[in-house]
Amino acid sequence: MENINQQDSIFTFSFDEISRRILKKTATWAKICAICAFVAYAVALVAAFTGGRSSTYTKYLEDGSGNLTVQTGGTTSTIIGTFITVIIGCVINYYLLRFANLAGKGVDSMNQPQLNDGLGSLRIYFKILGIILLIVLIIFALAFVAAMFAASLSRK
Amino acid sequence: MEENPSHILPELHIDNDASFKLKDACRWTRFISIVGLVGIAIMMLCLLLAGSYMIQISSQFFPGLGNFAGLLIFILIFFLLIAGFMVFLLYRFSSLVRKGIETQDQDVLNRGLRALQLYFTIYGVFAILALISSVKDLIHL
Repeated sequence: MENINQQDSIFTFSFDEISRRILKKTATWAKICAICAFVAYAVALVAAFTGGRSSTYTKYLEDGSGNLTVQTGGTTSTIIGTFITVIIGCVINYYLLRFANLAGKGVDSMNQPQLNDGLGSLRIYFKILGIILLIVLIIFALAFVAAMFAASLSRK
Repeated sequence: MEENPSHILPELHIDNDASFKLKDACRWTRFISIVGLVGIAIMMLCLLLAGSYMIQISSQFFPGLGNFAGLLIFILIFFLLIAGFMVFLLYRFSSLVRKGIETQDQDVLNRGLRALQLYFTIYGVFAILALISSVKDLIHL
């Protein structure tokens, strides 16, 4: 009896009916997002391999006199770029889909470990997004430092 | 006879494991939202201060773009505002869920989870629209 009371005092905080309903809706929309992303990646791959509009890139270069010239790139680099994007995107969206499936099932069947696994996947999803953002920030900072360095060299 | 624990605890509890995972998710979403808010503010500032100049340069490659400069800036600001709202929702999720777990306040936790639900709803609507657009592009190739 004392043991049960102790457990109750530890677990007084729970997902009530409202939060379970919210979690269920969140899981449904997360599943839609992930599925849309997977289909979009497939479409992007098809477009890249078939040489579609999105498989060429355009570069704007300044020739020194202030005029800008347009350079259109080939498809090989675009296919590689698309492939890398698709791989990273698939990893991210796999965790989103996993969260959606596990949290949805966990809430439906009132299964605590399944819900916890789902929340773990949500955590990994945001963690990967955060790390990618951090990498992008570092690249931007390095590019900014390099640009400043190049500007100071050109003045000398 | 030993009683099944699931009968003793029929609710979905925020146990140590769930609270750790939620708190860690909150930590990362806070980081993403703060960086996102700063980024969107910088982009908005650039657009408002040098938007017409950027469109003037772009119109060298896309003739006729200059005629729609105002509309284009308006559309870009609209999308930035939506992105800003989504990032704000992430921030709200991170701060409210964290606070809800720490203070064991059910209402605060629910408000935080609702922010996440709204975030994924907006994300889902835009994902569907983007998918339709990319499929349409692929068909027209």
